[in-house]
Amino acid sequence: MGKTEEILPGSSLPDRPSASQGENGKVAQKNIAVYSLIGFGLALASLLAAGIVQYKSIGSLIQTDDWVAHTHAVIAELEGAYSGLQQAESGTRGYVATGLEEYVAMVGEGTARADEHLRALRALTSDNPRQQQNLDHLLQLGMAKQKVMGLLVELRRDQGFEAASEELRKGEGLKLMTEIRSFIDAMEAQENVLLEVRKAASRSEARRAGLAILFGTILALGLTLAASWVAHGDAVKRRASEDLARTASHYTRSLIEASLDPLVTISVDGKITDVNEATVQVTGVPRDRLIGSDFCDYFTEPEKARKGYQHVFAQGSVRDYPLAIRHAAGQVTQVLYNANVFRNEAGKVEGVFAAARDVTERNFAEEKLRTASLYTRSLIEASLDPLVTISRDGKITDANEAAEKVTGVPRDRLVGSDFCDYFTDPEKARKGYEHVFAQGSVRDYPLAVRHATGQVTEVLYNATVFRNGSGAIEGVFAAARDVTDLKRTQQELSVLNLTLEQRVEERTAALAALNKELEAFNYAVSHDLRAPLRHIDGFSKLLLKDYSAVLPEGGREYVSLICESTGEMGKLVDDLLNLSRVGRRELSLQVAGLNPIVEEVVAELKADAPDRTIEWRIQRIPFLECDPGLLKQVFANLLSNAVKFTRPREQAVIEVGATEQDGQPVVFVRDNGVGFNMKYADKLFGVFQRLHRQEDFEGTGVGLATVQRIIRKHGGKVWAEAELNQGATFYFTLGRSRSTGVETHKDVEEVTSGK
Amino acid sequence: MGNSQVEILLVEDNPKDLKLTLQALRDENLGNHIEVARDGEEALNFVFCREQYSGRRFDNPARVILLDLKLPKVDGLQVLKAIRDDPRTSAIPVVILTASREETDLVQGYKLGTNAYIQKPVDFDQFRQIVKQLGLFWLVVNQPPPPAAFTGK
Repeated sequence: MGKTEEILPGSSLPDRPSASQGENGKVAQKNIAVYSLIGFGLALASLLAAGIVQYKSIGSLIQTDDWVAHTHAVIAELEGAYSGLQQAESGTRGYVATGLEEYVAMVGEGTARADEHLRALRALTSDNPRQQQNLDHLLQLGMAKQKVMGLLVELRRDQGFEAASEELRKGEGLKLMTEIRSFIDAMEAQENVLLEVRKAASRSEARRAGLAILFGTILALGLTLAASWVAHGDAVKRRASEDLARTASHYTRSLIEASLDPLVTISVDGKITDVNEATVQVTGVPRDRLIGSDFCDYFTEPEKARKGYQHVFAQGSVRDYPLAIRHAAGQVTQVLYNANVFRNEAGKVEGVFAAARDVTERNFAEEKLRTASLYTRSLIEASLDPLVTISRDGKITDANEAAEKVTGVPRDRLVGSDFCDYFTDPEKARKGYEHVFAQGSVRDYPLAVRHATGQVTEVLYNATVFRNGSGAIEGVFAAARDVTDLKRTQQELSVLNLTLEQRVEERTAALAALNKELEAFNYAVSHDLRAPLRHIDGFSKLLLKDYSAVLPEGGREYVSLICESTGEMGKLVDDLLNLSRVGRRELSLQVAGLNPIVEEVVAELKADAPDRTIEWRIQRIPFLECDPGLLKQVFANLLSNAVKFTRPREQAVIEVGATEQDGQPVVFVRDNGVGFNMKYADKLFGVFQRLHRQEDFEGTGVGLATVQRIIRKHGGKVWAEAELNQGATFYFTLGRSRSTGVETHKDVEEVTSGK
Repeated sequence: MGNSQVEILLVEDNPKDLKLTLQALRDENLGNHIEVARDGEEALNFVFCREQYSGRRFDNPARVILLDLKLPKVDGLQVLKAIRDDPRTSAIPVVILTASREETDLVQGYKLGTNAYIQKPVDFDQFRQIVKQLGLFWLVVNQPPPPAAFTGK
């Protein structure tokens, strides 16, 4: 206040006595009047002046209002621009995180908004060269920011999340954003200050106008008011700047807290003076305990930490200083410290501002990369195929052990040498890799590698180009497959093929010879095995005939049994001979009706068993391609079996017919005889396999084996279904044969006859 | 061995078969005029009037030859071929009487001109029946070729 009074007297003091004299004393009436007149005049003049002042003041007030509006407009535009950038930033981060294209649209929208606001700003501040300059800088920052965001979007799109988030982590965008924010803050502050100054000017003018109107009596009051107003204005001004400072400080604080990097300030004696939330997180120690504690306490290597901040105090800053923070729970975080000293207004160093960057993940990634690279290398070395990489000019840039082996040249000499030098046909080798550079790859390109000793290895090359990080072709990766063995095998194979025919002929001849031998054997059996049987039977019967008188009853019986046995043996030999004959016999196929064959067989069986009562149910069977002679044997065997095994039945029923299965005709022979247990079904068709006792049902056990052999010779199959004492059904197909589709026996009845 | 009438030339190497066959013939009263050859060579000697049979004449051959196939020295089919190849003997009735039922034997036998092919059954009773029918047929029912059939012209 005092200060104000000191400033004002020079201009205002003269007015104060005249006001008090005008109210007191006649003596000075004239003077008063004069004074009054003068005063009046002065008052008039003052009023006029006041009026003018007021007019000016009102104009100025209006103008101030305009300025207020203008400032608000500028601030709004600035905030608008910032908000646009923020939107773009959010969009960028969103895109990096999700890869969704909607976020890219958001980026574009945000940037457009920012640009629009900046253009408006340009117009708004055209009267203010300083703000224009500021605006230029802001534009630069904005462009830089857009560039960073553009790069992020591109990275995410081309190289995926990892690359983009890595780039994001670098904090380039955040740094710019912070810079932009503080710059905008500065511009806003400047605008506000300008506004305040203008407001102050305008208000003081208005007050001065008021003073002019209250000229005289209110002068003192006016002066007081003016003084107090000035004082008040000062306070307002001070409060406004204090507000600004508070806002800025608050903002800075939230920035610090928002940082994901642990931030601390350290005093000269190494005590922590401030921390952010990230520091609390990484150390696991609450803020109030962190502050005042020793900075070095939180590291795995406290001494190294001490050296770090001492270095900053000595040198002013440090970059990427590696330390490991130990969490209260023991967990260790690898960090890189970046720190700077900060000074007070007097420029004296007050402490160190230290920011840590968590690199655990990065270290892990690097470790992984190193492991992967080692793994890849060992894979390459482990390959038995010679592998090389070739540069554009045909030089070998890398080689594995197999490549050393096949060329006989050590790796250090291979690398840098000409790829083509190691082939019998260098020109062809050159064409090979040139083709790969041109086309991207080659498959099974035949070349011959020449070993240092002259030995040649036939190989097939498979090669592709490989690219660097930016996608440009860097060289060719070529893998050779040794085909020497393959070629030799192929040659051997062709020789084998050549001799195969001969071998087949030889084998066929051997088989034919074997067949001849078998025939001879069969001939011998048929001739020679039967002869003694004939003799036994012959002499036994002669014995019975000529000497029965001298033979006792028992002796006669024995001789009869001998005859019976020879008969059985004779039948057996005949059956076996027949079986073997069927095997060797060529099929003479013709399309034949099976019904006549069946009827023929049935007629013979009826003749053989005149005392049996058998109901024959014979259905129509389609014409089939077969060997009728052999089919007759099949029916003879199956039907004689049916007759035999229905013997215990008073009323035997034997059925012959055909059904279909999978479009194939199936012929069956069914009886109501004694059947058999299906668990022996697999033995049914084996030679000498019998399921019944000889005294119950005679037989050699060769009949069904013969049936199977005949059916198989036709490419068909035979099987049986039966149940003990419930009869049996034998089925067969003639696979090779086709039903002719010719309907024969159209009008032919089911042949049914008894006995 | 003069030129007496021989009704049957039995060519059989096996003594037991021989005995049984002769017994069967005898039982049917067909065993009176039988000549036996024990191998192919002997059979040919008889047919071609050679060696011990040089006194025989071509125009008085056996009424029927019962020929086994499996014979020592010269087998049955060769004997048959030789008989059919010579115009002096080709008309002689030949019946193959053998244990074999091999198809090749049947085919060869007929192609070479046998008049019948009989497989000896194991059952002696059946055999006896066959022998009886054979004798009846060839010696009684059948008209033999006249001597002119054996002149070789």
